[in-house]
Amino acid sequence: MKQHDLLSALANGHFRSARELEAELDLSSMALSELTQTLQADGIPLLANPRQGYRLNAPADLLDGKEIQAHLNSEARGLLSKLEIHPSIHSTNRHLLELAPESGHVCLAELQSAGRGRRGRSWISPFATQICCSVAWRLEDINALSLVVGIALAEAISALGVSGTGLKWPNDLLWHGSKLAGILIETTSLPGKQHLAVIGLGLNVNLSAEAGHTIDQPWTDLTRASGNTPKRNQVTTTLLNHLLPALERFSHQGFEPFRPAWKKHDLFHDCPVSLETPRGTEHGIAAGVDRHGALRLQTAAGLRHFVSGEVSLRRAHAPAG
Amino acid sequence: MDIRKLKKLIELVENSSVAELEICEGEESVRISRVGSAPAAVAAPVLAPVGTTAPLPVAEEFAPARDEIQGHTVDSPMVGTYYSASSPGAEPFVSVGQHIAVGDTVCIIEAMKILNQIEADTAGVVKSILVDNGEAVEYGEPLMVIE
Repeated sequence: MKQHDLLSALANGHFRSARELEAELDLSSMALSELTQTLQADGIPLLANPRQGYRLNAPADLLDGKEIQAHLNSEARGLLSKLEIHPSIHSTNRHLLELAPESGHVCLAELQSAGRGRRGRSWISPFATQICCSVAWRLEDINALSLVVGIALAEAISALGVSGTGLKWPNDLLWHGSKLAGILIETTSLPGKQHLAVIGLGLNVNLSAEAGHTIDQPWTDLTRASGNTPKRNQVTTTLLNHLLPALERFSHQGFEPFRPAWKKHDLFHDCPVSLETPRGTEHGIAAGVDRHGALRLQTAAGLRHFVSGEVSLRRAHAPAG
Repeated sequence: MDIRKLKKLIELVENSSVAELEICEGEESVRISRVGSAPAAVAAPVLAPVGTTAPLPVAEEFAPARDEIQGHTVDSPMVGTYYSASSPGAEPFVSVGQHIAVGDTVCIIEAMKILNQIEADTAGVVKSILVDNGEAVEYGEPLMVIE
């Protein structure tokens, strides 16, 4: 809590003297010094100057639990069981996997020191420029969960006024071909027939070009896609307003109610695609998904369904001559 | 209906001349059919739901030598891709000869980009690992033997 209070006191990016901060946060000078060193060790860009005091390297739009919750719709508010906000954490997904909490437990972080993508890819998450959000949900049937999360994310982003996004099966959210958000879902079994699904979302809000250099694929953020920088609290609220009700609906009604929305967001419907699978590359025409969320591919050998693989658009051959 | 029971049913159908078997239990129903004898190389991966959605299509394509496996096997609860470690280059979750406890993560099966941690349902020593990292696995396919 003191960490959050200190960051809030420094959010405008200006120097504040140690004496002022000690009084405001009710800390001894030793405690303040330890607190700032902890934050620095966690990778938070906090500068210390013996004469001027402390400041963040730039003004920061910080997350605020009260503000996020105040704007949730009534359904999402009812489904949120707990909201944690960490200034810095190894990975919000790992935290919830270890905690194995109830459905609707949400973990947010200003910075992830070991943010993860799929299959060991790292996920770059600099301080206060993204939404790093993990949600725990307990459910029996996880088929198609990937697609449902992608749909909820696409609809949240559309509600934030960004147009031109779409989904690549099963859940890559693209804006004109560039990655705007990443989804990492991990599951583990619980006693009985239940699974704990931890749904990790990384949504770029306002990345610096410098941070973007370390990303190994075309990327964008909400600022570039919409032309203005939305407040991170508002983005988080909008995400949860779409995601929590979608998870609740999916747990009770399965994928069927989401199929029309999938079709709406599906970038490659009726397009010639290639699918890289562990058994080799398949070619065909993407024909939507089945009721379990598996990709339907019209191949030379007939209609086939796939649960794994990396889809890419196949370019038509250039005309001869 | 649990996976073990399904496995028994599949074996029953496999070792018989029955082409299709449908069983209803309360609201759940399962249909197992022998879809011809398509060679493995062209057999389509068939989606098998993790839950109890009915009817349940079940892949007929198990690893060879299924009958020769002695001991308790950890079986894949879904169609997907097998990963032996949390990330490429990381230490595998388990290796042959290792002692494991109930609930230990033994591998990850990825399907539709969901990384499913598979836990050991029995304690013991890993006697053999039957699939390679990155390999496609079928529903119910034995992944490793634990003694």
